[in-house]
Amino acid sequence: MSSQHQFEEVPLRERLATNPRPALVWAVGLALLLLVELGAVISTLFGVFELVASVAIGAVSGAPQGIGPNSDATGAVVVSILNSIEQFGNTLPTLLSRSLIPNQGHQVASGAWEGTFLGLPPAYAWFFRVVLIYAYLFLLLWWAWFGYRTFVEHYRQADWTPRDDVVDRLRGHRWGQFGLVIVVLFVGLALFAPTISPTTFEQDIDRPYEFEVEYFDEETGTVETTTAGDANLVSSSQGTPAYNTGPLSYDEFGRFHPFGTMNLPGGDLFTFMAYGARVSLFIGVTAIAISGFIAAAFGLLTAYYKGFADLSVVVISDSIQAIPVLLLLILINVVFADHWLTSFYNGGLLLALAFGFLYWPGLWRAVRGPAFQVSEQEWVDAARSYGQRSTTTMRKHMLPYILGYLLVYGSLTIGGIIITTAALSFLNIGIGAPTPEWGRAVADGRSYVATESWHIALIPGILIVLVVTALNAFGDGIRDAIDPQSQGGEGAANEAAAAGGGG
Amino acid sequence: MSETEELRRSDRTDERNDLVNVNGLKTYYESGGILGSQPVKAVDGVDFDIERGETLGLVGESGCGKTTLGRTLVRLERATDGEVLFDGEDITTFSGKRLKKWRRDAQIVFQDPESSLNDRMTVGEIIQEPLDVHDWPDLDVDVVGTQKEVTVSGDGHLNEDEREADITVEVPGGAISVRDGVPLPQDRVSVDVSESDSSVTVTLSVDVSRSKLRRARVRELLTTVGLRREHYFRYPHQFSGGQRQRIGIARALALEPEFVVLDEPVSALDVSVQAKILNLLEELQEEFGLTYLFIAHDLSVVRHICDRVAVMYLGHIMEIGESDELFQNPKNPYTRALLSAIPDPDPTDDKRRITLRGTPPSPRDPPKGCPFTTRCPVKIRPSEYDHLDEETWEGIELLREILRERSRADRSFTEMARGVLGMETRFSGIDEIVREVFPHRLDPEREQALERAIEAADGGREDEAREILGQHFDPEETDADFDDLVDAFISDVHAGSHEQARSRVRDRFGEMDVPPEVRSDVETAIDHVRSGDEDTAREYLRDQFGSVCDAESPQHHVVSDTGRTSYCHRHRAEHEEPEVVFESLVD
Ligand code: SF4
Repeated sequence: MSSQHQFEEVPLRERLATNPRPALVWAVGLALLLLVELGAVISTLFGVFELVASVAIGAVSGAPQGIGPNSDATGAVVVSILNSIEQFGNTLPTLLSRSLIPNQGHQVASGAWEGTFLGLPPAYAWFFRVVLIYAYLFLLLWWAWFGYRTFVEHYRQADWTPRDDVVDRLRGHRWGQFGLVIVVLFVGLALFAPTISPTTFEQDIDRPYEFEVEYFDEETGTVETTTAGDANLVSSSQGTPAYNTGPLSYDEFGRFHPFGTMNLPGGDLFTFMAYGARVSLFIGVTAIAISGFIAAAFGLLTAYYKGFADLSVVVISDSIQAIPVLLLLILINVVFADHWLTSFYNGGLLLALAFGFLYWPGLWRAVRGPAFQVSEQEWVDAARSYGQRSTTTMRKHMLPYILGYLLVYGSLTIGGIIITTAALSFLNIGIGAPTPEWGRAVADGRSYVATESWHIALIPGILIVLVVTALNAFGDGIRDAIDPQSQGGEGAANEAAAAGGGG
Repeated sequence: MSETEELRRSDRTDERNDLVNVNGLKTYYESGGILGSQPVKAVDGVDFDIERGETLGLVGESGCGKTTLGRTLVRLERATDGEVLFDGEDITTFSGKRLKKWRRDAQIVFQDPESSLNDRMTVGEIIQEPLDVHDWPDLDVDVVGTQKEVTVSGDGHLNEDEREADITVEVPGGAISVRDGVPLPQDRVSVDVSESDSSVTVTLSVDVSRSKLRRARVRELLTTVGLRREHYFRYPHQFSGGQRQRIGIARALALEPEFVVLDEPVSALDVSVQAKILNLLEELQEEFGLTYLFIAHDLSVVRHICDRVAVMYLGHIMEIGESDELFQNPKNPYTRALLSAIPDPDPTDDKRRITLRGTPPSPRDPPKGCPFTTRCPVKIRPSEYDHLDEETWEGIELLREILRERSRADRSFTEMARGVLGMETRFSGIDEIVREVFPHRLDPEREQALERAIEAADGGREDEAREILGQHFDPEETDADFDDLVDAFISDVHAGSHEQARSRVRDRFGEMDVPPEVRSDVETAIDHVRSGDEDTAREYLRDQFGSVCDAESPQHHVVSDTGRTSYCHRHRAEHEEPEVVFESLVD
């Protein structure tokens, strides 16, 4: 019979070759979408690489010289290369850029606007840019989804996979979708912060006295110049009608403030929020990546080996959970006050690492049950019976079953981390100025809540609640999608949220 | 019986071609986590052999250790003691590469097709995984037709083990043959043979990748187990239980094992599907010359498929032998009890069901002596009690069993506290137990009154019956509610069950009716229980009434010409054979 052995399977390459059209259409579309944003893609990507490299170099040399391209450590060369690529990315033409659709300009005597996009008033110019950015983001996501559908329809060999059911359930889950949309808006705000803000971090917060603002002076009838710092001071919100720039209004210098301005030394609240979203997202994702990784690794090991392995992790995690979070963070703040780690995001990185260390026990406990459950499945025994390596068994036969839970509890925990970060900034022990952090805006604005300048504390407060709720909704959606029978999941999910927010 | 001599294992192995020899195998679990707790003796010293190509059935109630035994044979559990010889090598000592290599030879099919397949993988991936793990195929080469030293280079290597080589090359000439089972067309292989005076070098080139060969092999396996090639990309969810079990079988066969443990492979399936899977297993055995250990609790299935059967109870093999003969004429008391539990298809056979008292003892704390001693209906009595009536003896055994079971049940904290404080505990229920266990008797006068009461109740004169009972029996004498008792008595009489009505009253008001020679012993034991000292009571009863069954482990006696053995003291010359005693029980 050996002569009629058939090798009937067709590798993906050949499947693509026989029917290239759908894949080609998709790939060309994706290339176009990325091309128009090439500059932003490159600079964001290499910005992240640069950060990672700096931290790595810092960790190796144990000194703060890893930071920035100007230091003389050996690894600094790498950093400076990455930095120059990032800078190069910034010079590439990008469709959704401030320079293509500028919103910063000034009026002239006739009342017309100069320097803005098509001479539109700054509010419209800015709004147009925001709409374009989100349109682009959602188009990109939809294109990714379309790519998946294309694959399923034309190239996948299985006509059904268990994942299809998950996707179907997610498609019918309105609450989860609501969460997803808000999360995408939030992530968009963070990713596109330099483009989406009416002004920039450098100009508005970091070095305001090095930038100039042109404005139309009604008294003299001419276009005058001042520094951004001075303009910020004048236009700041201080709780009185005379000194207040509320949401959706222009200040004395013809600058539009979607969320109003901040208290002294002033500045645009929306810009602050956009960059602050970056910081929150960075901390949240870093912390969850660290704790999720530890939790998954321990979850698999304890479930596979049980007994002593499990017991020791229980002891360790209990000890960590017994530490009062606030106290530990204050301690870290003091001990690491002059450490090089603190220089990233004014302590933001340090905070992220601390959260990563503090939150893994919670995540581990959340996945421990599911991990034990799959470890009892006979397919794990089967893998042993034909000599599969334990690490491969864990990865192949156990990990897929706990990843979903990790995603669920991870999204809940990110919400908790965002709240805790804000709370710490509120207490003035978190991330220091000038790095924008939502909690600090709430803290700064809290004495103005009952005044004209209510927006300083209220808008960030509402956004925090919205984002955290959305993350929870998203987590609910995933949980219901991967585990449709989980009626009792409610309690556990809330528990995790409470644990996450309990910092 | 004349042939009641201990089996000499070595005598037997000579004529047989054994694949597996199990000697004194023990598998204990140190479970529970509490330090110093007794291990679970799941397998507690078993010996048996499996001949190449045969199917050995392993039966027993759930919890008897049969699954653990099966898992130990494929090294999913570690043996605590003893050896498992596979082709003469003790696999309990294997580790590392050696263990991994051996795993190709021994595979297992699991009970639950829901749980044995990872449902996030396609059927193809599932069946292919063992092949990937062992980097199948070996592409090893046998070179025949030369005495010279042979080297193989290129895509293959020289065959180094006993397994048949994947490719055989004939020298000179270089004719190639690929063995069945490797889906490699001959025209995709080429060899280059170069011969010198003292050596031959064979350079092999195969122009199909290993992974492609594996996928082709998986497709062939799918058809081998009765599925279709297109099922490769389906997921387990899309299959029925029977089909899933076929997938599990295909996975077990992927590496071409010699020995397969079938752990209740059909018990989770519909009856209609069971037969199909069993037929498949038989066909596969024939085709690939497999050796099976078939674990089951369903005896009819075992009878159908197995050449020999081992009956397991509490970690021991009670009886092992040719399956037909064992089913026709079971020798061991436990086998008899187990077989009597299945409905006999032959209605002329007036075999009576034997119901066993109690439940199997905990494998943490198995009885000394014979494992079946706590429940055996034909347990040997000490000679001084031989003449004791059946009812009394059964009562004593029952009392011992009850005490034993109670000692197993964990006492709750409050009960412990109450015991320590000298307050009444649940052990005070002994009076009730004694009433249940032993017959009771009234004095003649009361016995007469009882008969009159029955007569009255039977004649519809309930009031008179109540009156008679009230006159002769004092409600103070019993802790039960007297009116309830009388009501129950009357309804018993009305229902025609006079004997039940009588014993209802006798048990409450009578004296324990046991022969004088055992009376004081039983009462001493009961007194120990009353004072809360249950362990002493157990010890005492054991000392007084225990026999060889309680004291000594039996031996595996040869009980038939075919070499069947049974683990029971009754096969010793000085005792009656079990079946004789069973006959007298039934009569
Ligand atoms: S040795 Fe035989 S007779 Fe005695 S208890 Fe065991 S099975 Fe029954």
